[in-house]
Amino acid sequence: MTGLGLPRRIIKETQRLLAEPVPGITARPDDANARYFHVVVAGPSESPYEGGTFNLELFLPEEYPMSAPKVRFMTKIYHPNIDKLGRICLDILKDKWSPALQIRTVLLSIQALLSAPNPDDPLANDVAEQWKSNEAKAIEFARQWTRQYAMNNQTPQPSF
Amino acid sequence: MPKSKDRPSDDIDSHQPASPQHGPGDRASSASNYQGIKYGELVVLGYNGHLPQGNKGRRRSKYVLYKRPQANGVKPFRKHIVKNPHSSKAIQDSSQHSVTYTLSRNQAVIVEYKQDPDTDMFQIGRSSEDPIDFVVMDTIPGHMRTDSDTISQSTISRFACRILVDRNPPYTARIFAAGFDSGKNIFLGEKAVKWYKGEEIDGLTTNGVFIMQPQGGFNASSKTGVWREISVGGAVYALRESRSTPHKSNQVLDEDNILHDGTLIDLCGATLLWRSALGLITSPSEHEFEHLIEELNAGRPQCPVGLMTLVLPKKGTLGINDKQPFVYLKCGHVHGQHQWGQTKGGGDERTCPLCLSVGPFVKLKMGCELSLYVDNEHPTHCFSPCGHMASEHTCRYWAQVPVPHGCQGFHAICPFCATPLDADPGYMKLIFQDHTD
Repeated sequence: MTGLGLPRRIIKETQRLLAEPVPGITARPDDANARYFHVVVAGPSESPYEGGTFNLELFLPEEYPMSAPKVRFMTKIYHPNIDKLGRICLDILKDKWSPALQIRTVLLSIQALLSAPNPDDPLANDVAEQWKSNEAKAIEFARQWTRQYAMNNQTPQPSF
Repeated sequence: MPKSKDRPSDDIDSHQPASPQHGPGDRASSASNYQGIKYGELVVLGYNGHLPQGNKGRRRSKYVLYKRPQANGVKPFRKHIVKNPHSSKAIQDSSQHSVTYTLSRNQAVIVEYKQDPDTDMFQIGRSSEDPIDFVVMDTIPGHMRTDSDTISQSTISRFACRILVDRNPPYTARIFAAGFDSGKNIFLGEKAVKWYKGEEIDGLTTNGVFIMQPQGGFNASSKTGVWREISVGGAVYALRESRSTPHKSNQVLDEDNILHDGTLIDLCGATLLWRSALGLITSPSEHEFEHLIEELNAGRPQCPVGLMTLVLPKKGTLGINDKQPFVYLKCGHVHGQHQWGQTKGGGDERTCPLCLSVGPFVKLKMGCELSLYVDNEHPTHCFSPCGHMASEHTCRYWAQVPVPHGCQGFHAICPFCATPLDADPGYMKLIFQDHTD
């Protein structure tokens, strides 16, 4: 994919993401499609996801930045705000989107969501239930899934 | 208003050629730089360096008062009572300045004026007749201007006021209501407010001439003063009940008609700012001001949406669209033009992408009439709702100055476009996303 017809905003964001990456996050545009990013987020320390590396895909729709990027977890994750298809429940990706936000700020928010799951606004209902009824057990599940799916996984992921 | 307004002017015009002290030839040289002495400037509020249709001759947004080659001031000399003023010699003699106070149908007091070698006279009014040095028309506020503005009814007198400046330092300037017409006469008709007690004869014009002296001079810390009315003789009065109430208020004896740097003059339809030559030293020069803007632009302010670098215009607005800065008036966040956050109703209200507050989104315009600046600081603020940029103290000062409008009210206006300012505070700090690289 060439950069032809790519808005200057996307070019500038991409350049800055590559030059000054966010700690714990890498985002690399696809060779064939400059609107598609391969993202790897490291599980934040002191969270049940610590030690894991989570693959995400991020796509900038035609209307970007007037509408939000589309982001999805490719790596399975046990989290009340992320469902089994990898969809993320995050307000800035929906009605709280603003064009002043960037790929960088979206990824930082996702990183923060891993540190602070919010079972009161769930997407994965079963996980949220578990989180509310027995948080210790839920965290143990999350650690288990991290070991199972998010470690030694930096080969191309099969999609599910 | 002087009776002269309703009187055909040619009835006395044809008698004699005008005296050399105030003839047409005089003007060209007074507008040039005689002996390099500049007394000051009169700046009409509501214009950003020029009239909408451009500055032409005596019709302009700013008039510079230079020392004249020859004195043309006049001062009261003697007075007498006449039965029929129009047949009196002082009025028919078009080389003789006079003020006629009509007391009744068959009695008038004529005050004869004689030449004063120590003062220069400058006259301001709506008339384009020769005695008017600075022709001033009613100011239409910026938000109501269209391409084809015509004033159907004016409230400005044709011969509204006169300013006499001492030809010697410190070049004190004094203002008087009413100006002499082409016959060198001022007529106060039967209905004008006037009083004749003992030796004193004086009067007010129909819509009056108001002045306001700012407290503490014209600088970063000045505060608005009290509006006063000036009489034909130059005395100071409290404002009348309404603009043209036919009764004078109390005389204010401890104030005078001297113009100080920053004095505002209101002619009922146009408001003028007097800047003394000395005071203007503290205003930025064109060059200094461009440098201030360059310093702001050096921070490379960025549009948070388009991520492009914005450029603050040195004059007015920028021609290049994607670099033109805009501001959200609710929060002060500066952006480039973008299509987002328009509210459902399709009104002016939009949502700021940075803080999600909802308010008008307007183009930023540089306030480049530098005589309106109270200091020499960066234009980091803007007036609301018009978006004219100026320094913080300049915005703060003008936002607290009540300017007469119409015959009754006062309101704060943007000095660059005369648009009434939004309620308190009427201006805001601009928030740039700069120094990001």
